[in-house]
Amino acid sequence: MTNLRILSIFPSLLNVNGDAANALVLAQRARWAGHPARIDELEPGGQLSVVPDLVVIGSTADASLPEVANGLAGIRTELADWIEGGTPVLAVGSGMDLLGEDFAIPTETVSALRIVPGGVPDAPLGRVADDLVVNSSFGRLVGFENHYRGFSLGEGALPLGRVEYGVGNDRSTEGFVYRNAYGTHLHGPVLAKNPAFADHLLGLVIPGYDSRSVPAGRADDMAKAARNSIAARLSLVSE
Amino acid sequence: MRVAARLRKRGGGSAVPGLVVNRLAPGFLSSALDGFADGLVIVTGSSGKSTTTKMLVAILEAHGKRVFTNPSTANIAQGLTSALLERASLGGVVDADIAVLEMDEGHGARIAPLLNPRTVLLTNVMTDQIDRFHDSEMVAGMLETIAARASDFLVVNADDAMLVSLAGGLDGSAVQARYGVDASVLAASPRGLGYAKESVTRLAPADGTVVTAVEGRLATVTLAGEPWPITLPARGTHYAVDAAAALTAAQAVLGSSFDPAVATTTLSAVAPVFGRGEVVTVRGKSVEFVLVQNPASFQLNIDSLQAGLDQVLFAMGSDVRDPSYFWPVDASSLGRVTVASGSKATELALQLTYQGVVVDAVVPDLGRALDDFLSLPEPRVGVKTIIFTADSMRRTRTHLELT
Ligand SMILES: [Zn+2]
Repeated sequence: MTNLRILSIFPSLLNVNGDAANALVLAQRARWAGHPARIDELEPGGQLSVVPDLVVIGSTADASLPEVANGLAGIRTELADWIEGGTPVLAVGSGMDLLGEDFAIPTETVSALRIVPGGVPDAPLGRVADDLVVNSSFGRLVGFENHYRGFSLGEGALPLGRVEYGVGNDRSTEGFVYRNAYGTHLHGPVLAKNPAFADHLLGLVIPGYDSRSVPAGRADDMAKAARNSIAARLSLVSE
Repeated sequence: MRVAARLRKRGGGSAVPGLVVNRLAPGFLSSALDGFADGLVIVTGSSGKSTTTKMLVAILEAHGKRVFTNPSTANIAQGLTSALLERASLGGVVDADIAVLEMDEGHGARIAPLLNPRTVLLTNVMTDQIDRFHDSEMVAGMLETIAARASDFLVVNADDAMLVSLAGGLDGSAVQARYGVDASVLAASPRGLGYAKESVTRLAPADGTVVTAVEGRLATVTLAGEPWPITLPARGTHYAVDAAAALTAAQAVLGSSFDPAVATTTLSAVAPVFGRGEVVTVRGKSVEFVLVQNPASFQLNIDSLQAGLDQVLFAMGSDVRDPSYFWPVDASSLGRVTVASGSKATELALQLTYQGVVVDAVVPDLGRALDDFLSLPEPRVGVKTIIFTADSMRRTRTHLELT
């Protein structure tokens, strides 16, 4: 097939926790399976030259949110079309918040994109900075959450999974699924530690995608060991 | 003795007696630190503290000063108190002219009200672990708390926009002295200097100490507009910046008795601090130790390693609560890592693998990894290189019985 196009949204701003690395994880896994892939980086004010196959949106600290929201407003039409049209999107942390309703941060109200039904509720959760373990349709997802706000799902959106350890959206559900758009508080390279999630996204856009390859096998053994070492520390059963 | 041994490690020196004294005589620390005839100098910031402190101490000693300084990681009040006690007479007087203390920004801000430094030197603000300090603004706030205590001089890195801004907001009596790099040195660092925010303009040689050239371990700095050659403890522009910081502080502290020839010669003979480019002989093998303190120092240190190293041990320990924040670092230039180790070995190996680095083995048990790594035959390229985070550095030193 032709190049798989992965679009990384504002990586210079939305990579505080290494979330932009999810684009790299998708590209590498595609390549390992024999599919050429490239990452297109879009910065605020930049031109969207091609229609992407997959989109990755990371997170940032509150201080940068107005700038990010402003930049996203310029590509709202395209993002909404892609999401409604079924393009897989991964949105992490505040990147997830920005796909829903407008929300307040201490200094102002952030204009979000209102594409995904739901959004940040008025009452904040308080600071959460700890491990997050979620039971999802891709199996157990393990990672780290660091956020202050929760997320409440609107009609038409489903949770990504149920919280096994941690807080997530509201101490019970975590993330959202809306068409092929996925939101999660699991920050950083969530797709590296949870390759089943990555393979699900790749399977949506690569016909006949088979994740099995030697390098993926090595990486997935490391990921499983990493998930299990966190699970063991939290006194959860190992996979 | 296991519990006591642990406590000792955490304080860096002997924390237990310090803890006791702080409880029995809470005023001891501040009165002892106020007792130096030439005052107190505090060196703080995200990185570069240890090397800068070591250089500054050497320069002051070469000018005839007797210096009290804190041993490597004894940054906390207890460790400091213990170190002071070891040097103090029965009357509580420490036999030295001046104190130069390296302080972690968090601990420093907490004990700042107890301190009356004449000089505060600020190195930089780098993005630290998100879950530890939350963000760079918070680090800058802590540094501001410490900087506000300076009565005579505030020595500031002119290339760090957050430091320049916080220094500009202080209304104290301290005179500001600045150091930085020129445009050519900055241009030679394609990823920048690693600061959370970089200043837009460069410092003019007339306005401070400026690094004008770095070539391997050789560098040139201008002092009062005049160029001086220096030799760095290890390769890397960040060491040249540390040298400029130490020279600027020495100049401020010594005033008219500062001799640039003595200062630059002394500085050029300073050996690297453990884990900052130091090459040590261990079990008959030459080993370079490289400490990774935050994403910026991770990137800078990897970029300044010799290309094509074929024996690298990389250990990431429990001090890294969430390894996610290291993923913006591009480690691909490592090419190959012999062994990933430490309690976060698998997560480290995952990052390296996705970035195209071949990881030959993942051995979370650091002691075993070190033993196996050191027993390998000599590398084909360079020396055996051990990269570690702070927790793995402590464990490595203990395991290899390095002081
Ligand atoms: Zn051993």
